[in-house]
Amino acid sequence: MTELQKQSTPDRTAPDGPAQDGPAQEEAVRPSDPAADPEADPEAVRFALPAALVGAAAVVAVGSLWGLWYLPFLSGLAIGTATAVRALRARTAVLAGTAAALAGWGAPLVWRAASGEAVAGTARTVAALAGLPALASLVIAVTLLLGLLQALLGVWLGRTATAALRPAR
Amino acid sequence: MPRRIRTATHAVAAAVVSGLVLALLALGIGPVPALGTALVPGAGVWDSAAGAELPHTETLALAGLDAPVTVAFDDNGVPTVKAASDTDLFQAQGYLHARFRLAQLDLERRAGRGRLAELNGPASLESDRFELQMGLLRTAEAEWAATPPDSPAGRALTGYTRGVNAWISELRHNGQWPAIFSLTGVYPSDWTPVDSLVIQEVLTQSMDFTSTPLDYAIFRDSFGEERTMDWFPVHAPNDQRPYDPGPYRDLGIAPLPANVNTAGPDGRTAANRSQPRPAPVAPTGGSDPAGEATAARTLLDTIRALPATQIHTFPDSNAWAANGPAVAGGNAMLAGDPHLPMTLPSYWYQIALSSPETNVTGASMAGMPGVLIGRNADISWSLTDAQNQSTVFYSEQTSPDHPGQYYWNNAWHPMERVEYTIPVRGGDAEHFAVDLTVHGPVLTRAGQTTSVDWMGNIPSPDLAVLLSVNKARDYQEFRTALADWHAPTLNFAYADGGGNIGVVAAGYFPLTKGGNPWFPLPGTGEYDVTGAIPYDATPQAYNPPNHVVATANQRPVSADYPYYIGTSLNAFDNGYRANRIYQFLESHPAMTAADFTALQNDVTDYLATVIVPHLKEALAGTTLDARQQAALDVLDRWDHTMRPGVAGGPIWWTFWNDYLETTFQPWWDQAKVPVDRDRRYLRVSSALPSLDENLEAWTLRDPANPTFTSPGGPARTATDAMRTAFAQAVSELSQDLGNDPATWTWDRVHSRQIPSLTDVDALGYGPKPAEGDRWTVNAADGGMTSTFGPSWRMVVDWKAPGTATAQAVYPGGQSENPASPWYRTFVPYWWEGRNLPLLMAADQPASTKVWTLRPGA
Repeated sequence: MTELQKQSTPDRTAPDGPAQDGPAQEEAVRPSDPAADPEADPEAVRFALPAALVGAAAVVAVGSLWGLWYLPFLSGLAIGTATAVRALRARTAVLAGTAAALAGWGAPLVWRAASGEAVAGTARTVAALAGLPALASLVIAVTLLLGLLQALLGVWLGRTATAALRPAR
Repeated sequence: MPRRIRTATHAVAAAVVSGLVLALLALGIGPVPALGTALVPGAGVWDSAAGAELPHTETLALAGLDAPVTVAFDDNGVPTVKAASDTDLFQAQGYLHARFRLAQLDLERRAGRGRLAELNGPASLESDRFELQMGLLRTAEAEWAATPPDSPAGRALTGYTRGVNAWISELRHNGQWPAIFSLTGVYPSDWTPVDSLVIQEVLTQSMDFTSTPLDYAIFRDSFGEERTMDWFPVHAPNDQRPYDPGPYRDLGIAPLPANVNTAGPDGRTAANRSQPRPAPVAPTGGSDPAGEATAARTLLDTIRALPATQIHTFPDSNAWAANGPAVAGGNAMLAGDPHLPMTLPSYWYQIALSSPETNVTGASMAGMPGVLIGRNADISWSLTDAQNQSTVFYSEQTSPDHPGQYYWNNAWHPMERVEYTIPVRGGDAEHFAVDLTVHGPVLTRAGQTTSVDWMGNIPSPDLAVLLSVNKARDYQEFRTALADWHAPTLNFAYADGGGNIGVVAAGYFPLTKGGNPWFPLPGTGEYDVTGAIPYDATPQAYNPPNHVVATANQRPVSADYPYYIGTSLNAFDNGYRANRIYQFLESHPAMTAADFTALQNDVTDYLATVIVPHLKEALAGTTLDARQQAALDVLDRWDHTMRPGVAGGPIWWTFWNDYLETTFQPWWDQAKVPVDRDRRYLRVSSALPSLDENLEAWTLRDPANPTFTSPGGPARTATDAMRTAFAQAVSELSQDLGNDPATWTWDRVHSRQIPSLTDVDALGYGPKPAEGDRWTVNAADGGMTSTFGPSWRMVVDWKAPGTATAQAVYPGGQSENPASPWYRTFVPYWWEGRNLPLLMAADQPASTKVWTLRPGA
């Protein structure tokens, strides 16, 4: 079993109650629809998750070109909801949200730098204007953390809302 | 807790936290900007990274052009603009200024319009209130209203405005705003001709508005009038070199046009304002010295808190010219280095402009069309501040029985009120009202209702004059053009290819009906400004017989000049730079451009050359300890230069300041002078020219002056005071720099800094150890970490009519973007005292970075 499969497999040994991994303290969810159970099609999961991640990162990255700064949150929300519906572990959701946010907001910065734009110089300028130490890494880190924070909030909300909205058994 | 409730609670908590965080990112809070929009990597502040890229050859469409314009950049970012008409030329200049200096333009116009708080928040409210009181905006609006649209100035401003707005429009589409806008979320509105004139007014204020009468009011309150005038006389007691030694003519008084910032018919028609209505009850009736001092302290609190670029600080500009036998080749040469607060970006944007009507190169001022200092094919010119008193304060007589009124010309008159709303970033907008009397805006009601009559509030067609100067072909055209220059009052130094040199003081030198205008005057009508010195009687010099002329903010005329123009207290420089310049020029025949450059970088302290021999005399025969003797030995070897690596400078500088303190501080302490209100001009220091001049003159000619004897102390002379000061200086330096005076070099105590215009340390340059002091030709003012000095250095060497070589440099770079390679390009050259070629458009070598601007949408 691959690492991804390990992460994607519902932890059947976990007791009912709040999940202990990741910042989101939501209920462990059970598949409401047998068809949504990832174990129903492991191959689909093997490719669906990376594809979804790439897609989410791409949407976040392209959206940032249009100034859609809140897309990391929406992608996190989608990931949180989808993983809850599919009864994937919180850790999986957090990792997926993190990856989508960092890739989605990191890619435009990398692209700018590769195109010769003064990303580091601009970061230093912004840090100085903001009254922070004039370190490029500081503003770049803050930028990525903002994307990450949004994504994690989205994951949290997605999972908890899904759990709350799930019909009682 | 039932599981469903826990689940729902978690969901609600997640929703609330997410909502709050998203709202914070979307809207910001207080001083924290909306970080979501600011930091999104595909837009926001990151888009400004593109603005740091250097130009490349391309064709750009610019709406409003009549014909194509070419802009060729050299390796340092200096553009050469070639256009088919002046209107196109200035549109391209506006586009360039916006492209490379938009944040600077916006900051400057905000400062003048009283809109800084909208960008900076409550911290800038005091500045906004002050500028709205001063009325820079009202004056600029009146200036534009008085500018015929079809006049050269009207067309230039219209074209320039179109150019600025072309870039703002592009930014609205591509989002590549300078980072400060994306970060704050406050974006610049469209440019208007009034904005350019507001910037002109800001510069006028920084050079022409003086708070000297407020300092005088405090000194009078502390010392009494007689002693105040003994120590801060109208005419300095030391030897100075005026550039216009006379003979002088008394040509009467020239009338002044309307000051648009006054109550009354002229003001009303000039500025759009509300109908008169009662102002708040003033707390005082007639004027009184104590009330004036209170008003002065209140106002100084405000003025000293203004950004350095908005207030007049130090008199440190130089310009000189030589001709005939004084220069190699026998033609004429000009040197100019106007001193201003040094900032990144600089005031200046270097440019070469060429059209069928205009052909000029030099320093343009960001925000204005044309070239302010430079040369054309026939003439060259530079500027220094005339330093005359252009500001008269009035103590208005008010009464609780006449609310909203003031007593003037034997009757009560209503003040007029102009109302403003000041937007505040991160706070509530402030409603603000400005009251006007016949003299001008009321600046304070603390202690004494005080208004100000400032020559900068009289509309001045500076741009029209500047454009004429840019085109002038000889001295006659140059001087004729300057007749219409009203404010700020400046000395225009001149040299041309015909071998002529000169200096013209252009601008209003106001005259009052009576009274001592260096104090606040009663506002009851007997002491009003009644006119100005006629242009033909202002200080001027043309082809002087000694073939050299120099202006360095010294009093430009001698004591027998028939008009009042200002006092020795922080109006005029104490003449040390001018004396040194004349000393150099008159001892160097057949000077070359290299000589002029060397003089611009000269760091000989003139006062030290005068005083140190007397100090040595005072110390001769006294018993010195080993360290004092070693310090004296250093002074014996010292060449009076304030150079890094040279010992002697710190001993001299510390000695002189201790000498001042030893002599004057006991009197200050006794009188309890409130120095905290204006530490720059109220406390005993070498920044008070009058005290330096007194001490110099007394040391040389009046060593028994009673001031040397402290109040209640034993009798002392200059010799006693010098010995005390020397011992004190050696003791202080030992503590700071160690026990070996041979290692007390100037660079250990003195540095220069070029701060960012945004006041952000990391975006500035330095501080780094540096040469110079406030009296050296290469001036370094503003304290031991100097932030004030030569903002532009230029030398023009005329070989023949129409033929010259010129060099220039300024401490900055063409781009305001700190990430741009052109942000600090010139700083190393400037720091090393090297100038770069200042070329006319026709002389520019081929460029690899050429914009072709074509008429388009």
